[in-house]
Amino acid sequence: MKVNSRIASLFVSALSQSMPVELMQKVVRKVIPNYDVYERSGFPAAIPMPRADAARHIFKDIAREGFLVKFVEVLIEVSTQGYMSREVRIPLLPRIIAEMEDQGYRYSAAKGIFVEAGEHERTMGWGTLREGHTYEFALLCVDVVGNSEIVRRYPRSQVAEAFASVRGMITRQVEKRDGRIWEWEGDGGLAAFYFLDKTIQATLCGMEIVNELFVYNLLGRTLPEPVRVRLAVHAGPCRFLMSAKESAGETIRRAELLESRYTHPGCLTVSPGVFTDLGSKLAPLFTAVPGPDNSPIYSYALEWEKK
Amino acid sequence: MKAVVFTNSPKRVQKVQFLASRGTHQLEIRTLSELKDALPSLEVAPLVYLDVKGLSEQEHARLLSVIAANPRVRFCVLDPADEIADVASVFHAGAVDYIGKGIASTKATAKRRGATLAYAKRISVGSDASSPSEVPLDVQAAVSDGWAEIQPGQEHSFAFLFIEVDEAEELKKRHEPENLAAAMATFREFIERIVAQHGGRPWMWSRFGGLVLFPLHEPTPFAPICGLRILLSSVFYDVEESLLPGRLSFRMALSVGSTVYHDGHTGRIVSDAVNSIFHLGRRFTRPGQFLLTADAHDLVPLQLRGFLQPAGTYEGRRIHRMLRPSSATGMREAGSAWAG
Repeated sequence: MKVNSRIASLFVSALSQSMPVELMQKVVRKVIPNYDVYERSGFPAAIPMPRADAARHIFKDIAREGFLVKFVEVLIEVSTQGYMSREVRIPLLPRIIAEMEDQGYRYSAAKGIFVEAGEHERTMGWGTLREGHTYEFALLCVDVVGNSEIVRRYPRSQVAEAFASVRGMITRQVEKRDGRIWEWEGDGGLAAFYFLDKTIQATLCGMEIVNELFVYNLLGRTLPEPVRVRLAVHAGPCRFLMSAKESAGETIRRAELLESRYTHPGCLTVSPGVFTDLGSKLAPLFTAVPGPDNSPIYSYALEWEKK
Repeated sequence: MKAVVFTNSPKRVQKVQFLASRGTHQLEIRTLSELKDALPSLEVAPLVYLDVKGLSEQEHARLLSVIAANPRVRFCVLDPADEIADVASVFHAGAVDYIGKGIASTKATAKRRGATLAYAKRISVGSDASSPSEVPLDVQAAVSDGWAEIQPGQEHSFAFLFIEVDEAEELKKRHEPENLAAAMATFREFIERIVAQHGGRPWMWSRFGGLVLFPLHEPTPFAPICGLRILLSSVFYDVEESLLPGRLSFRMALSVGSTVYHDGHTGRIVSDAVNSIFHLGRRFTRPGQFLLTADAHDLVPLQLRGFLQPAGTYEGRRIHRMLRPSSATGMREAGSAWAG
C-alpha cells in the first residue's frame, strides 16, 4: 500500500481523536507484539505522551514495518466489536477505508481483511500476506495426466492451445473462489486458498474443475483425445513466499504426494484433515481410498448412473 | 445469427426483402469469386446463402458442391427468380433451406430461421461425432443477440426449459413460509445465473419454479447444455447458496415450440407449446429427472447424446432422459465418467 501525506494525516487524526495512548498501544500490539511507543520514540515514560505525538509515532512505525493494511483491519475490528468490552468509536475510519479503496483494496467483511479489488490486479498474497511469514493454507495441486505423450503425439501449437484453454479454465475456477494460482509450470501447478472455509473452497474448486473438464472434453476440446487431470487438496501451515517452489515445505510436499501417487486420472483426492471439514452435503460424494502409510484419503470423481 | 450471402450482384441482393429484414449488422454480402477462399473461415456457424440468379445449372451445382465440401457450413439457396426447376436437388446437395421467389419477397421471421436451424440440426445427425465440436467452452462469448430479435406480441420459436422444485408440499410443511420463500429466492437466483450464461431467461416463474426461454435461432443449441450445467452445478448450489439443510431436489424438462412472447403479463398467454411443457414437467417428469422431447433431443450435441436414454412416450411424443451425475444425486453410483 502506498503511504501518502493524506493517509498519514487521516490516520493520526483518527487515532488521536478516538482513543487514549494506552489503548493505542494495546491495539498496536495486535499487530506488533510488545509494542511500546515510549520505548520506540524515546519519550520519557514518566511523562504522559500527547495523543497526537503518540499517533504520529505509531503511524511511522506501522508504515515502516509494512503493517498498515493489517492495522486498519484491526481498527475496523476494534470499532465494530470494541476492545475488551469497551466501545471504541473511530469517526475517521470510513475515510481511511475509502482511501484504501482508491488504492485498489476492498474490505471483505466476511473475511475480516482487505483484498485486492481489481479483476486484473491479482497477486499471490491477495495484497495482504507478508513474504516470509507462515500462514495456514489449503492447497490444490493439479497435474495434466500423460502430458509427455500428448506433447509427443500432437503438433506443439495444438497442444499449447489445449493446455492454455485448460489452464484458463482452472485459473477462472480458482479465482472465482478467492484462491490464487501460486505456481504453474507447463502441465500443472499449485493453487492456494487462504480465507475462511479455505478447505471447503479448495475442495469445491477441485470438484468444479473435474466437472468443467468433463464439459470441455465433451464439447469444447481441440485435441482428438480428452485432457485429464489429477487433483489433490491438503491443508496446513506454509511459509509464504511469492514462489511456491522456494516455499517448499511439508504441506506443499504432502499435497504433491497425494496428487502424484495416490490420485487416479480424472479424480480429486483430499487428505483426512480436509475431509473432516466437508460436512454432510459434500462428504457422501467422496470415497475412502488407500493413502500414504495405509491411512485413508478421500476421492471424488464425476460418475454417471448406469444406463 | 449472422448470415453471409455469396452473389454476383451485391446491390440486388441488398434489396431482397427476406435478407434485408435481418438488418445490415446481421448480413454480410460477398461475391461468388470469394466463395472458395472464404468458406474455411466461416466454419463457426454463420448461415451461408448462395444466390443462384443468372447462374447456369452446371455452375450452381458446382458451387453447391464447393460449399458442401465444408461439412460444418450450413447453407441455403437463394433463388429469387425461381430458376431452379428441381428444388429438391438443392436439399440433396446438402442445403438446409430454399428461398424461392415467393419467400424472397417476404420478411424473414424468427420462426422460419428457427425451423431452418432445427432442420440443419436434424440432417447433421449421423455425421462424424468425433470431429471437433462447434460448441464453444465459453458459451457466454458465443451467445448471440438472439433476444434482440424477439418482439413482444409476436410469435417466436423457443426451447422451453421447465424447472420445478420437487416435493413442494413437503417443504411447506417442514419450513416456515418466510424461510422457505428466502430459500426459493436463492434457488431462483442460482437458476437465473446459469441460464443467463446460456442465453436463456426465466419467463413464467412462480414460487417453486417455472419456465425458461431460449430463443431458438441461436447458432448453438445452448438449452440442453444449460440443463447439463444445472445438473452439474446443483451440488455447489446446495453447499454454497441453499438455505435448506439437505440437498434440494428438482426436475427439469426441455421441449421446442413457438409462442407469442410477452414481457411480463404472461397470465393470458394461450399456447399449446407452453401447456405441453408444463404437462410434461408436472405430470410425467419424476423427481430429480431431466427429460427431453424428441425435438429437444435434436438440439443436443452429438457428443452429449450418449448421456441420454429413451424414457417412453408422453402425449404421443418420444421422450428421452438425461443420465444423472453422481454430484446431482448426492451419492456415488457405479458407472464410468467417460462415454469415450
